[in-house]
Amino acid sequence: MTTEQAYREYVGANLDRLRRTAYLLCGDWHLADDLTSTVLVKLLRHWKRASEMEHLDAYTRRMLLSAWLDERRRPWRRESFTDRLPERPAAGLDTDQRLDVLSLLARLPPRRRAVLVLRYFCDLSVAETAQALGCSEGTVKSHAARALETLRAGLKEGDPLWI
Amino acid sequence: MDLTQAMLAATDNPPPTSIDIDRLMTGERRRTHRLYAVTGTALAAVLVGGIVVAQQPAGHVEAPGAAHPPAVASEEPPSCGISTQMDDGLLSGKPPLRPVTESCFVGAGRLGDALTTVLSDQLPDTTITPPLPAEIAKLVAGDGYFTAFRVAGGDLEVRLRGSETTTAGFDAWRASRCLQATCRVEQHDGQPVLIRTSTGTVEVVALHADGTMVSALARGGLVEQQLVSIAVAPALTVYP
Repeated sequence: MTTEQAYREYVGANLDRLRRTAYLLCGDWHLADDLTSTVLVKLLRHWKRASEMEHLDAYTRRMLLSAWLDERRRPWRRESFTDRLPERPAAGLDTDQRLDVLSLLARLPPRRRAVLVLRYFCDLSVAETAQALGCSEGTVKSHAARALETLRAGLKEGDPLWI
Repeated sequence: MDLTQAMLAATDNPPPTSIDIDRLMTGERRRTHRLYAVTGTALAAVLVGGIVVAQQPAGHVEAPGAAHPPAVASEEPPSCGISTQMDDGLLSGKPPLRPVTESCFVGAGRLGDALTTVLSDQLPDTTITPPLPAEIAKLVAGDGYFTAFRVAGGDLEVRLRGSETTTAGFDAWRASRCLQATCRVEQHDGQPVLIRTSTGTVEVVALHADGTMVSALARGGLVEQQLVSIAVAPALTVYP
């Protein structure tokens, strides 16, 4: 099998998973596609080395997280001054939105959100999550606990998502 | 419903992806090729620059007061038949009207000496060290040769060859190659001379009575009159 074929095969098998993970991280399918493309291009550049890795999935996941965290740091993501107040949804009125897992995740800071996605969607252990995020296991545990606490604060007892 | 199920449900119906693997791979391949090309060009430029610097004569004497003293590289004249990179667009692919019978190697050496004399006359304050390096190319159908000299690191270029056009046809030849307002034809010693100026560059093309076409191009350092004197110099001929 040629290098190109191997790359195509890997991407074909993992594209959907990468897109879904990216979507849960950013909450936007267009941005998720951009992040996935960024990861795939980087992976293609280093495919010779990457294809020999024992944990290639972990490597791509880590690239995805880095791509997303980098995206969050871009200048256009920062605050900007405007002469008009932005339109915001009225808090606490929309039951569907409150129950929507994406709107709940959107309230979390990036790294806590990443911890939840890796732990509950990618089904990683605490140690694997810590490795993917480049932090200690204790940090992962505390991030997860605080993230769940924030989610619970946005729910009422008896809501379908009540954990 | 637990969090895992909620996340799976949230990503259950993804829209069609805009990611095109083929386009992505083609783009990456193009980027890599471009990177190689740029790197190769830069590397070649550095190597060529290094060779040129290494071949500069160590102790050449500069004349006092000369704005751009012609420094002469100590290259050996190449053998006949090489293609020169100094084709300035004067070559049309047609053979000269009058065949050049002199051997190109002999001609290049003779013209190098003649140009040294002409330059010494025009630039008396400058030391010219012969032999001047010549670039030689065979003309079509073996009817002669095209010789080019680079002086002062390319600030002055002189090209000689048998002309494909007559004096009568010179103006039409000029019109087909030179339509800008900065281009004119004058008569010097009964010979038509084309003078073309652009930013920082002056080019003079003279058609000698014997059919030799001489082009002298300067990038600063020489005035127009000096270039005309070089181009019309009788010694610069391919029909000795």
